[in-house]
Amino acid sequence: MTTYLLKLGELTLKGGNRSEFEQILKRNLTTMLKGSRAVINCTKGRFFIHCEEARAEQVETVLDRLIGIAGWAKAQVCEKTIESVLQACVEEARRLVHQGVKTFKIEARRADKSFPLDSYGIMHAAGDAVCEAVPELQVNVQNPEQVISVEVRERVYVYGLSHRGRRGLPVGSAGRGLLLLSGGIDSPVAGYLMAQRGMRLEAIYFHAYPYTSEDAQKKVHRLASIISQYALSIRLHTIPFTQIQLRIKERAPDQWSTVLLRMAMMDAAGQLARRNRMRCLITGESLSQVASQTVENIQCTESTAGLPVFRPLIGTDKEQTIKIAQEIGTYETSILPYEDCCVLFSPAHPVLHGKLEEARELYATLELDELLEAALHNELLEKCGAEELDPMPSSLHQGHR
Amino acid sequence: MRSGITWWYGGKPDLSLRVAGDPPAVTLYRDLVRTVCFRYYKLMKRTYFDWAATTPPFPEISDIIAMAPFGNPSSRHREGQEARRALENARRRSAAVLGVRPEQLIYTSGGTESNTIVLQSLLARNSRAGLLYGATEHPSVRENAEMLKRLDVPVLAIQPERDGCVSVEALQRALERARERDIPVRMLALMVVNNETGAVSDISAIARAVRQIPGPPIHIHVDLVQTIGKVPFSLSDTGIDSAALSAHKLGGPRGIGLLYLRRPLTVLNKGGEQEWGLRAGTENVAGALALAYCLEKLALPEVLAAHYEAAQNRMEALILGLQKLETCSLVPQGRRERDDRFSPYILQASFPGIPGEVMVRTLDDAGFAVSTGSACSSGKTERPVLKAMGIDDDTAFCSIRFSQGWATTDADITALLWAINTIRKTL
Repeated sequence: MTTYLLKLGELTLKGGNRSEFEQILKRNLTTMLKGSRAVINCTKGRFFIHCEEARAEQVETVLDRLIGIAGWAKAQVCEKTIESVLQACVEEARRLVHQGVKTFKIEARRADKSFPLDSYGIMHAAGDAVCEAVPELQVNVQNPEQVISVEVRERVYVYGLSHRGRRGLPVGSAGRGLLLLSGGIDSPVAGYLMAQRGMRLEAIYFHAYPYTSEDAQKKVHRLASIISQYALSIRLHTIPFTQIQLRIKERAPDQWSTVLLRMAMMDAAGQLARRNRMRCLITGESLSQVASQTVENIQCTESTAGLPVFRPLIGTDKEQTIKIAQEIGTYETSILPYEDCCVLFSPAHPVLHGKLEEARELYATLELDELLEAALHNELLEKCGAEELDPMPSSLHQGHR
Repeated sequence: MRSGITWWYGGKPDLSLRVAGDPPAVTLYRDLVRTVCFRYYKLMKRTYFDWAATTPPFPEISDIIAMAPFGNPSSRHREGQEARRALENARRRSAAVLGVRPEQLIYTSGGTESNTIVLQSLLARNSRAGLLYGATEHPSVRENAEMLKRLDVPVLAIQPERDGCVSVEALQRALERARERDIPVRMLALMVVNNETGAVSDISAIARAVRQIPGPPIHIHVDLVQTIGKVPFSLSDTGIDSAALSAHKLGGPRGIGLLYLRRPLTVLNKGGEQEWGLRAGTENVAGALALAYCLEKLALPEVLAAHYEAAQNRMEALILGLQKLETCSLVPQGRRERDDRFSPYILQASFPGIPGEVMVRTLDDAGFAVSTGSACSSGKTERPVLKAMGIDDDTAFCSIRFSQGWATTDADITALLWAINTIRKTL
């Protein structure tokens, strides 16, 4: 039997509604651990997971992906006697030395006051025992490389090496938002960052078949599945947008087409979000990254949304975004060469600083209401879950005879 | 409008392939599935215009493969000897159609392997030997040439004329450049019919010119994958040294092809002594029999001439029809109907403003299988063949390839033109 101990980070700052957050975290954990036959134990602000040795790897993968914890550690469970506690501390210390750690300190907490030593006494005794048994380790109380923790509860838990969690708030504790997922690098990262703040995600993708390929749609599905490893299952709404793009191409001035398309997308997303009782839209926009993301054009595109639009990447640069994308594993899929938008619809010289009034007037001339209604009516709804992830699709085949 | 899918079962459901010993229920079920499949495809009205990628197999092929002796031709027992007889019989039949000696034909897994065997033989030579190859070659030659370059074999690409053909003058220019760079040219690799544009190079004239060059002989290797069974070509009269061909472009199965070698080569890949030690590995007897059948069916001169004339007529109709559309340009632009510089089986056309892949998807939905011959990558397309011909990027980006075959009909062409016209208006 292996035991893991979870440290709650930001959750501990919560006051009266802390238990609510803990319940959500427990629910998420139960969902993510499905099939691992692990037992979750939540007592007095501590989470423990007990699982079979053989399932440890699966549980560790889940803990690495779980949003809402500050860290986790594999804990030793021992008897409530001084000897066994010291023994466990020495074992942990040996493990630390194996990892190349040089300095340590012992931290102890005695929740069960019937234990013969008080917490100070435990620290003292364990420190001495470790220094004697493992001379390679030095005590450093001010700035230790690793901390060996001892917690005396109904049993005693001893743990050394702790892993950093994903922090943030448990997914689902901050309502639901609709992520505009394009297939690029930015939008999956934006979704992940919002999930880290506790938001449960749904995603919307605008499909312009035949101008964009089925492969592009599969790519978006895959991206949603990757985010769902962290953000729980995601419902992906695929909206057929060809008619709207053609209408824009037909009626609008060329240089305005991108801004107007984005306005139409925000309009559709806003309507969909309201119908499904979602509270906000999430985009991967970053200020002035492309023509449609200048502050003026963002003002234009936001005007049709009708809901708060969250842009977690607004102040980041591409390099930072790519770093996060690589860390969460969406980057490899994002750079697959299936275009999300056809060159046919991108003007050579788009409007850079669109005026809101002009944009609104042009948007009104498009008369998109019926087309949008039809598009939303014909949406394709899929559930993207982590379990559907298959190996990377092979790259495009080239070189026909 | 007649559907081009009639090739699927030769116009009617084929229920004849019963294997003795199958329980009646299985046979019945299989017949039922076949009938349903046939009806389904009938309803779908699919029309196939990607014959250069692969061709639908002749319905007889599955029978031939099923009946082929199973033994290993290298075995001494009767089963083995039966397989050996079948293999040599297939080789003799293929040689008779191609007008060469049976021992000059080596069975391989297809065009790519045949090309690779010949190109890599340069590495097995004792002296420094350079390679000249067409810039518009298939990747099996182009990529192999790149690899040879990394292995210190001097290579040089021949820039074709603007129409995509490699002429004697283009070859002379390349030889001149090779002399400047001190490349000892010992091998020339060219394709007769280009797989993307259909441009036909005059190999006889090139071979004559090469033979007049003083010094050590130059090995002439030609890629005949799009040529045999489609365009008149004689292996023996042109004086070439080796040639590659593949069965699945001739209504045969995948995984079988031929390498014609006028004289044996020293090859790089070694193994058993099969195929005179030139291509080790247990022989594909069933594939060899199927290939012999396909060659007899398509590559005999009179059949070929009749098919060629019919294809020429259909291509004329297609080209004239496309020229009537204002927004279509042929690639290369100078291509005319009944133009001997091009194979009537392959046409590259560009629809400015519509990316090739979009056209392919739309035509696919309308029931027509065509291809771009390449894939779109992150906003820009890589079309090395068109680029080598000097076609500008925009035209190349919007180009698609139509390729027809022996079972394409006039009605298919009419339907295709109608579909393109309709699509052109909606996109």
